[in-house]
Amino acid sequence: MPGIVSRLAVLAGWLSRHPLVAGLLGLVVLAWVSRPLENAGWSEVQAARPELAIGELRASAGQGVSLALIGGFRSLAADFAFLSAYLAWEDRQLAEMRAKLELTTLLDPMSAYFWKAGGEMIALDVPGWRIDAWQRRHGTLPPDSVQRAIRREQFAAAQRFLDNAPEPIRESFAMGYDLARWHYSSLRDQAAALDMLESVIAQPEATPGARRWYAELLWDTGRRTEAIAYLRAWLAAEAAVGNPLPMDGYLRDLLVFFEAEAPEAAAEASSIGSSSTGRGR
Amino acid sequence: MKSETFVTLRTLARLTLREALRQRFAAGLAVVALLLGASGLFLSGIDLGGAQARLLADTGLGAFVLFGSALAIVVPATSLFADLDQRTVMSILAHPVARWEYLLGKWLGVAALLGLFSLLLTLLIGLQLAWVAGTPGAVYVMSPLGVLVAGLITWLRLCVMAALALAIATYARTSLFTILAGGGAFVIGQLQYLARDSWQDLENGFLRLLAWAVAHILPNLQAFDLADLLIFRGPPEVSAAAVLGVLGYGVLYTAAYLGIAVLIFERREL
Repeated sequence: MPGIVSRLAVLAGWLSRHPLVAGLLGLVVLAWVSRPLENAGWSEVQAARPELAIGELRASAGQGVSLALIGGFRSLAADFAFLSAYLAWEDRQLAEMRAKLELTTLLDPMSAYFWKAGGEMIALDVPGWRIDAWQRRHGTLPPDSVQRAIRREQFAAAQRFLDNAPEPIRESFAMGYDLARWHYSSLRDQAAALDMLESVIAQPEATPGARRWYAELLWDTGRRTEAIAYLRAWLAAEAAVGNPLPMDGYLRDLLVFFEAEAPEAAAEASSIGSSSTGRGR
Repeated sequence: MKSETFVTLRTLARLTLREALRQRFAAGLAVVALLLGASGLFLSGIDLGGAQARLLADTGLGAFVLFGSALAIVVPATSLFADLDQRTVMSILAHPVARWEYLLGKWLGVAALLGLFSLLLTLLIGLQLAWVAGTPGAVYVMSPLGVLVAGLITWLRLCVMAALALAIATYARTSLFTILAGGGAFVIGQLQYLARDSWQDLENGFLRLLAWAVAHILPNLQAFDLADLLIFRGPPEVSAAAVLGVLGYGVLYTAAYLGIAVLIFERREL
């Protein structure tokens, strides 16, 4: 024990003659001691804003990311990254476009625009490039089955891209509506579009246009009773609060058409009408 | 604290602040920071992300951190070396002023200067965000209390940098070295989390030691980016524990760097 004490005394004496070393050792201890304090704030920063890992830094060298890392300006850096993604899109450079889109959303994950535009590029534009490439190689358009496969592949890629979006954006009405639109226009898949729309149509942000489309999709996919019940409940709810819709006339005409086309469904809808809320299903 | 010490510190801080305000560098940097911070209003016209308030907060805070850090590094370095070169420090220390009092007074003066700078930039950010707050469909809504706390946290971040610069200056022989080393420390501090997360995975022994040193000697400056969250979420949403944690973290590192500065300066030949 006295040996340890005397060695510690020697060490203390040496450290007092070498203040820089003593200071650096103190900092090492401080790094350990202050970790809980640091983590309290750092964990919230990380949760709200994914940090760039070394691999992403290497991939993004020269894209203004250093500006974002050392000085803030993340929104500006994200704008530049998106511009470079757009340039890659113009040149139809798929890999580069994907990398730049990933970088853009990493820098500014809370911008719904970047997610939406990126998803559209991947799901709607890239299939066209791939079909064009096929045509150049084979001198003819690919068969429908191949075109469908390409569209499905790209749609899946877009969904994987969107899976990384923050929850409020991923589950927002706008994102669900866009996904439904892509299902409908790119994959010509009404059932999938309806499923997607159904998951978000009850949100208060749902627009009248989306709700009308929802009623039409219900009708087109054979769920006629639900389409009529939905339209009736919606119109009744808006009338009850004295809020005539801009397309009130069109919706009423649509309802009259549905009821005339499917009187049995209209009668059935009357029996379930009372349980409908008018805000989605 | 004895009243003489308090008077000494106040006098030294006032002298440092006055000297810094006289220098055109500090004023020039503040003007450039204000201009860059305000440029968000014009840049938002070409913003692709679509959230004007987000861009304004980003450019404002970016200018705040970048130029504030430059101020926090350059002012202590030039001020200390001006005193050393002109032998002013000898005449100050000839009075009953301890070396630690001299250093602490200098840091307090710089902290006051950074306080003025922080006040200006916080006001700029707050006013800009208030200006766009009424924009229809605004996604980001400013939290006034959050902006104030963000200003406080960013000021503390600058104070840490000033203390670090002072520690480097007490060891360095020239102000240029101090400024360059301080700038390097700022950049490395911003990337400290990378070193902390990856030093154990590095295979190269030297790189591993270097990353370990970076992770343990410099603070994680990005922890102060909590300010970024506070601007829009405010204290109820960003936990008080997080705010207090970051404030405590800043105070600890400021004290540590000042302690190192004093340790080195006590033994320095003047």
